[in-house]
Amino acid sequence: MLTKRIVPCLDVTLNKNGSAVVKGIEFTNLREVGDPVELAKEYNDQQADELVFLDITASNEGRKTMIDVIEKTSEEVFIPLTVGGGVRSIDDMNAILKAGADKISINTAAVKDQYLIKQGSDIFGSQCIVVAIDCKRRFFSDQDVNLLDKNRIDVEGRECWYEVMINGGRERTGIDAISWAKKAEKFGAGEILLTSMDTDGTKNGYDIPITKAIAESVDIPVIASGGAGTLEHFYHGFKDGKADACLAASIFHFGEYTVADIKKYLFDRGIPVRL
Amino acid sequence: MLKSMIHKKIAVFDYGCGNLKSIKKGFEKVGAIVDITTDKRLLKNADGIILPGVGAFKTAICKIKKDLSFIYDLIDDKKPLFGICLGMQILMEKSMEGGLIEGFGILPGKVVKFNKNILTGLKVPHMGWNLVEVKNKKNPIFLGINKSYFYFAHSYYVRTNNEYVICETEYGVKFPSAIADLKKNIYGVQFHPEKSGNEGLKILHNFLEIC
Repeated sequence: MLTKRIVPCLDVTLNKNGSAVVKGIEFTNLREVGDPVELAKEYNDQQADELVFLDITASNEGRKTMIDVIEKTSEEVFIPLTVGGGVRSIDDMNAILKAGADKISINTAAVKDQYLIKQGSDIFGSQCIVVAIDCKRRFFSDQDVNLLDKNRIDVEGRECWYEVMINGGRERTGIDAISWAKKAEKFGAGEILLTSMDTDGTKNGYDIPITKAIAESVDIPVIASGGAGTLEHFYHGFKDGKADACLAASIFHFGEYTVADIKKYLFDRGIPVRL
Repeated sequence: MLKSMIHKKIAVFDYGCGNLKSIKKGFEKVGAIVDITTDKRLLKNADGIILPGVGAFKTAICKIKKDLSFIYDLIDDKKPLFGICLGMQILMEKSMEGGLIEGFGILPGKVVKFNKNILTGLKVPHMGWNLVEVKNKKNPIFLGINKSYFYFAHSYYVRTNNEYVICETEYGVKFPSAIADLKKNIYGVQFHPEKSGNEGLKILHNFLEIC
C-alpha cells in the first residue's frame, strides 16, 4: 500500500556572510535555524519521506546558493528532493535538476505562463513538475466582483472562495484555486503543493476545506501545507483533508516533534506510513 | 566482500535529461567509481552499466536509438545492465506512453498506464513510498531484502512474463516492481533505489557485487 508522506520544508535564505541558512517562517519569528545540509541529514535520519527546499530570496545569488545546497545535500541524503522559489524557465529547471533535485516546484511563473508546466512535464516527465499554489479565502460577504465562476466552499459556516496569490502571496490574481489546480493537472503537473495563507504560520492546523476540495478535484497527489502545529493536525490533514502528503517547517526546525514522532502517532491511528 | 574492496567502475548512460547526480552519488556512497557518459570506450570498460530513468519514454528512446546496436553488443558480452524506472521500461518491446512506441525489445512485454480510479482514490502518477515484495528469492539484487518500502514516481508500469518478475508491488493492480533476465545479467527496478534511503543503497551495493 502506498504510504502517506511526511515532508519537512526548508526555507533557504542567505545570512550576512552569504551562506545559506534556514529560517522559521512565522512573520514575527524570522530567525535562523541552521545549515540546510545538516538539517536535511537530520530529517533523513528521522525517516522523512521527502524534503522540500524553497529559495525564499528568489534572487540570482539565492539560486546559486541553492544549487550548491542541493549538490551538497545529494551527496549525503538519498531521499527525494523538491526545489522551488523563483523558478522561471526550463533553463532554471535544468540547472536545479542537474544539481541533484528530483522535482521542481513552480508557482508564480506557472500562473503567468501555463505553457511552462506543459513544457516542463514534456521534457522532464510530469512526476518532476510540482505546481505550488498559494491561496487565500475570500468571503462572499466581502465586496468582490465576478463571483459567478468561483467554487464556493463552506468554512465554519461561512461561504467563501479561494483566490490564487502570487509573488510570495503579495499579489492577487482573481483566479479560483480549485479551477487552477485542475488546469495545472491538465497541463501536466505531477503534484500540487497547496498552501493556505489563512492557516500558514498559525499552528492551528491545515486548511482542511480547501485541501479536501482540491484533493477531490484532481487525480494527482496533493501536498497540504501551512498550519501544522500538533500531531493531530497531520492526522486531520490526511484523514479529513485527504492529502497525500503533509508538509511542515517550524514544527521540525524548533524540535517540537521529530518526523518519527509524527509517524508513530499516525501509524497508531491507522494512517499508512513508512516506519 | 574482498571483491568490492577493489573499486568497481560503473557507467551511467547519459541519454539527456533528468537527475543523474543522485545515481552517481548513490553508487559512490557504496564504493564505486562512477562516470556519467555517452563515451563508448568508458561504457565498454565499465564493470556495469546503468540505464537511468527520469523523463518521457519517447524522448529517451529517440536519444538512445542510435546506440541500440552498441547496447546489444554489451548484452552479448554479459555486461551487467541495470535499468532504473524509465531505464527499465525502455528495455521492453513497446510502450503506450505518447502513442505506441517501440522500445529496445530486450525483454518481452509492454509498458502501460495506471488506470485512474476515483472510487478507490487511486491517483496517477503513483508517487511515494510503497511496499516491494520479493517473489524470486534467488535473485542477487535483493539479497538481504524480503519486503521493504521503496520510492516510486511513475505513471506507467511494465507487463511481462512471470519468469522475469522478481518483485511485485500493489497499486490498484499488482505490477512488477523489479524484473530480471538472470541469464543475460539484465536487471530493472521501477522504483528509485538512489532515492530510497538505506534500503535503496543496499540494492546499489548488491548490483555492484554482481559486476
